[in-house]
Amino acid sequence: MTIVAVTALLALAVTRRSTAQAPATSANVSASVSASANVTGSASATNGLVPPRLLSSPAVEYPVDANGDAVVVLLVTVDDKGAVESVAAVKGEDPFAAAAISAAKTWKFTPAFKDGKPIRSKTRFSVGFTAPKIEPAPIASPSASTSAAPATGGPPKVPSAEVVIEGTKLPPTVTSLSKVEVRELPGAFGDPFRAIEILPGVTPIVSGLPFFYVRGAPPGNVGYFLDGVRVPYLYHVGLGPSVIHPGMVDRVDLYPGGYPARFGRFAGGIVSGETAEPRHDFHGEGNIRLFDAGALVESGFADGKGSILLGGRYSYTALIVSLIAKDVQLDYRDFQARITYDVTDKDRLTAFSFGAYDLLGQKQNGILNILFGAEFYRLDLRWDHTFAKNTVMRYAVTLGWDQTHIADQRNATDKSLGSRLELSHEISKRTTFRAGVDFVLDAYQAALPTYADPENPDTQRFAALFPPRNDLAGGVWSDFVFKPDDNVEITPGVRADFFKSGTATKQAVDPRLSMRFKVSKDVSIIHAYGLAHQPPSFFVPVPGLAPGSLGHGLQTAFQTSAGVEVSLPWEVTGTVTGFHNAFFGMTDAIGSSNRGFDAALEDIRASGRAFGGELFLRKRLTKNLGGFLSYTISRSTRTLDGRTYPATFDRTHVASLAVAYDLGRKWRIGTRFVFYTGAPKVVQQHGLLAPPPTLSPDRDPAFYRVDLRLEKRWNFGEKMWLSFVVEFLNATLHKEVVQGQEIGPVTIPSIGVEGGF
Amino acid sequence: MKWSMALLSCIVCAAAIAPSSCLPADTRPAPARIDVSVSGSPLVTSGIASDAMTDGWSVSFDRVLVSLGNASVDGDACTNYSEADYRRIFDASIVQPKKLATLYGLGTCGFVFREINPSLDSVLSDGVSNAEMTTMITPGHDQYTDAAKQGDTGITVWFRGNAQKAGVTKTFDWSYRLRRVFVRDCVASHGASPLRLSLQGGDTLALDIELHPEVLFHDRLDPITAQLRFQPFADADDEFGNKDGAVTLDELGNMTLENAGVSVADITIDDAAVSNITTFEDFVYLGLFPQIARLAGTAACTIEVKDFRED
Repeated sequence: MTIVAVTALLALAVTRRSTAQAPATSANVSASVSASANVTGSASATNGLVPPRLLSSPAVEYPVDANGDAVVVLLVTVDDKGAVESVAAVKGEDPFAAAAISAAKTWKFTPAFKDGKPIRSKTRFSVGFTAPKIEPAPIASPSASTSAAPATGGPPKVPSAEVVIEGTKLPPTVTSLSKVEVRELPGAFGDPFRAIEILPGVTPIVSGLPFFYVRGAPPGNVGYFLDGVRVPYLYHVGLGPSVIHPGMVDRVDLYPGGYPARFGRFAGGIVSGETAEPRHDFHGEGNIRLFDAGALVESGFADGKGSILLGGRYSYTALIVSLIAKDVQLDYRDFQARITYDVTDKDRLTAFSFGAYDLLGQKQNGILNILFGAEFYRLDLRWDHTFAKNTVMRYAVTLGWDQTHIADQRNATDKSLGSRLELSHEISKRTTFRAGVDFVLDAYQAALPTYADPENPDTQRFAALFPPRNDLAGGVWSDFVFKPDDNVEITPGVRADFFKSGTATKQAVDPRLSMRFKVSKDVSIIHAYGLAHQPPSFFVPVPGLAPGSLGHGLQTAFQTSAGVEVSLPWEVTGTVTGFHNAFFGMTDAIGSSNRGFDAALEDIRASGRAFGGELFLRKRLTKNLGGFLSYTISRSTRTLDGRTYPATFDRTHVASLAVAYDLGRKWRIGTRFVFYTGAPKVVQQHGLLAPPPTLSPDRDPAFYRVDLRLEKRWNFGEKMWLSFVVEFLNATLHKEVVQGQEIGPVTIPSIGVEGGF
Repeated sequence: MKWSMALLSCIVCAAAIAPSSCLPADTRPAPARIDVSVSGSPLVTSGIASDAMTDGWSVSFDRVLVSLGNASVDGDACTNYSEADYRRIFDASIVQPKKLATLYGLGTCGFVFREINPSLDSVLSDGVSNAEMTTMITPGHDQYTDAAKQGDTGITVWFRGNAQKAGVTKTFDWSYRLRRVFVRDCVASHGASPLRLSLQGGDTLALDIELHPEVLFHDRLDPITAQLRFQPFADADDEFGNKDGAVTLDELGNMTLENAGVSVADITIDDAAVSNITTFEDFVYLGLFPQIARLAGTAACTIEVKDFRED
C-alpha cells in the first residue's frame, strides 16, 4: 500500500470529534452571545474572605427592543449554597436592566467563604450591552487575572462581599468564533480551530486539509497559539481531530493582519485559541465515536481556591484499521491537564500542560516503516498577579518538546524554553496600557539518517536547510488602547524583536495600528496596519523543523486593511473589508515555485503581494436559524527572479455558506456549502529549467462540497445531557483537482455519542 | 486537606505531562548495503568495427551521455531501507565503474533503476560538463513525449556519432526523452529466473550497470539473439530522407518496419510483444533506446515505460 493509499484510507477512516457541548446553561449563554451582551469580570475579597465564583458563563440576552450600548450594574445576593437569592439593578435602565436582572437570576455560584465556611454574600456585576457587531462578544467568563481583583466598593461588610465584574473587548481587527457557535457549524466537527476555514481571507490548499493561506500568506506564516503558547500543529495526522479537546477552548480568534503588538514573529496571520476559565463545580463531558474516544473533567478543590482539569483523547484506530489493512498502524492521542490555585486573592498559579502524539506506519516483513509521525508537549507555568485596581500581570514559563518523523526513519526535534511577561494597566476608563517581554529558545536537532545515500541531493539539502542549532528570539512590545470618546477606539503599538540562529542575527521593529470609528448606531469603520517579521519558515508548520537560513534575512509582511461593519436587520451583522499585503523575503517555497515539492527543501526567497475584498455576514448559529456567509475575492502573486506570477495556491473566489436550524424537540440540522475556484495549473517541469511562469495561467477546475450535521439532544435534570451527532464533511463526495491531478474524494464522516454533566 | 488535594492534583498532572510514548527512533535491524555503479562501454571509444557488423558498416561514437537514477530494491519479501531517488549523468566512454547510488535493504529483493531525464540537481559523473548538463535539462519534446500532459522533458540519452562504409559517412545526433523507463528483472539468458538479491544484515554487495550503446543498431529487440547493422539507418537518409548525410529520427519515422527489414518476430522479446511499434523510428526509440543500460552479467532486462503519473 502506498503512502497515497494510506492517506486516502485515513481520509475515509478518520472521523471528527463532534463538539463538546456545554451543559444545560449553555442555551442561555449562546442566546446571549448572539445578542452581544458582555459580562466578564473580576472578584474582590479581603483577607479571610473568598468571594463567590460563577459556575456558569454569565451571558445576557441583548434586549430585542433595545438600541445602542448600555451598562447595567447589578447587586446580586448569593446565599451560602451558591444560589441567587435576589438581584437588583443599582445602575442602568430598562430594557437593559430588566434583561440583566432576568439573566442574573439563573446564574449559579459557589458561595463566598469566610474563614473556610460558606456565607451569604452580595456581588456587584457590571453588565455591558453592546449592540450586535461583527465580532462575537466573548462568552462572559471571569478571567484568571481579574477574578482576584480587589474590591471596588470599599471594605466589605462581612458577612457580605462585593464583587465587580468587568469586560474585555476584543480588538477591532479580529474575527472570533466561540465554542458555542462552532459546535453548530457543519463540517467543523466541533473543533474551534477547524472552524476558521469558514472565515473570510482564509484560502484552503485542499478541501479538508487544515492548512490555510491567510490573505496570501502560506500556512507556515500563520502562528497558532493557545493561551499565548505556541502550538506546532492543530490536527491529528493532518486531517484528524483537533489536538486540543474542544471542551477546553472557549473561543478562537483569527487575526488576518494588523494584529496586536503582543503577537509577533509570524508574518501571515495569527490563530489564537483561548481556553475556558477554570470552573469549580465538578463537571465533565465525553464522547465515543467509531475511531476515538475523548473526555474532559474538571473540579474545584481547596474550598474553591483551586481547580483541576484533565482531558484527552485516545484513538483505537489501530484496531479498526487493522481490520481493513492489517499492516497499517494508525495511532493518535492527546492530553490536557490544568491546575489552578489562588495562592492569595491577588495571585493565581496555573500549571497547564498539553500534548499530542500521532503515528501512521506500515509494517513490511515485520519491520515498521513510519509514514507520518509527530508529537509535541507543552508545560506552561503561569503566575497571574493583580497589583492594584485595573493592573494585572501574567508571568509564564513554557517548556516545549516537539518531534516529527522525517525521511529515512529519523526524527527532528525541538526542545524549547520560553518565557513571557505581560502587563495590562487601565490608566483611565478610556486608556489602557499594555506591554510585555517574551523570549523563546529553541534547540533544533535533526537526526542523521542511519541508512541513506549521503550523496543524495535531498539529504544534502535537508542537512543544509535544517542544521542542528540553537535559535533565540526575544521581543518587547507595548500598545495603548485609546478611546477618546464612545465612538472611537485607536490602538497604536509597536514590538521589537531580536533573532539569533546559529551565528546569524537579525532585528526587527514592527509598528502596529488598528482603529475603529463608529460613524452611526449601526455602522463602524475599521482600519488596521501592521508590519510583521518572521524568521524563515517551512511552508507548513512541522513540529521540530524550522529552516536555519536566518542569515538570508527575515520574512517581512506589510499588512493593511480597511473595512465597514454594519448591523443589519434580523440580527445579522456584516463586514466588508479590503486588504493589501506586501511580502518580502518570503520562504514560501511551494507557493513561489512551479517545481512543486521538489522545491520544498530550498531556501527560495520571493516577494509578493495579496489584495482583495472580503464579505462576511453572520447570524449567529446558536439562534433557531443562524448562519455564516463568507466570500473572498483576491489575488496573490509572487515575484521571483524578476518574474511575477500567481502564487501556487492563489484562488480568485472562495465562498462558504453555513446554515443551522433548530427543528424543535432538541433536533438540530445544519449544512455548509463550500466553493472555491481553482488554483493555477502548474505544469510540472520535473526539475527542468522552467519557462517563465505566466500571470494568466490556466487553472484547475473549481471545487465545491456540501457538509451536513444532524444532532439529537436529550437533557437529564439540570446539568446532564446526551447527544447523538452525525456529521459529514463533503457529503457529496466531490473530488478535487490539485495541480492537474484529481484527488479524493476527501471525505470525513463522523458518528458518535456525546454526553456531559 | 486542601494541600493534600493540591499535591494529588500535581501528581496527576505530572503523570499526564510525562509523554506516554514517543516516536520510535530507527530501531530497524542492520540491513545489507548495496553499492550500485555504472560502467561505460569500451565501444564508445573504440567504435564498432565493420567485422562486428553484419553489413560492413563501422560505427564511431562522438558522445554518449546517459541519465540514470532512482535505483531501488523492491519485492514482497524485501524491505527497502532508503530511497536513492536522485539522478546522475554518465559519460558512456568511461569504462571504470562510477557510483550511481548506495542502497540499503533486507530480504529477497529485486533491483530496479530508471532511465530518467536529468533534473537541476542531477549529479554529474566524471567526464560530463556543465554545458552538456544544461543541454540535457533544457525542456523539449518529440512525438513520444506528451507535452500536453507532462510538459516538456529533458534528454535521457544523448547519442552522437557517425558510421562509415566505402567512403560514405552518415552522422547521427539523437535525443531520447522518455523519462519514466524502469529497468528491472534482468536475466542472464532466455528462460532464466530474474536476478534476485539475497540481502542479509551487515552484508555489502556491489551491483554494476553496464551501458551498451551498440544496442541501437540491433536488428531485433531480443538483445540475446540480435545482430548489429547500420544499413537501414543509411537508407533512412538516402531513400526516405534528405540525403544530407545526417540520419535523423524523423527520417527513421518515414520507414516502415518492412522498409527496415524488421519482422514482427523481431519486435518480440521472449513472450512479451512491444506494442505501438509501426515504424522504424518506433522500433529504435521505443524498443532499442531503453535497452542501453542493463545489469552487468545479464543479457536482458524487463523494460517498463510508464505513463507520466505512474511510479
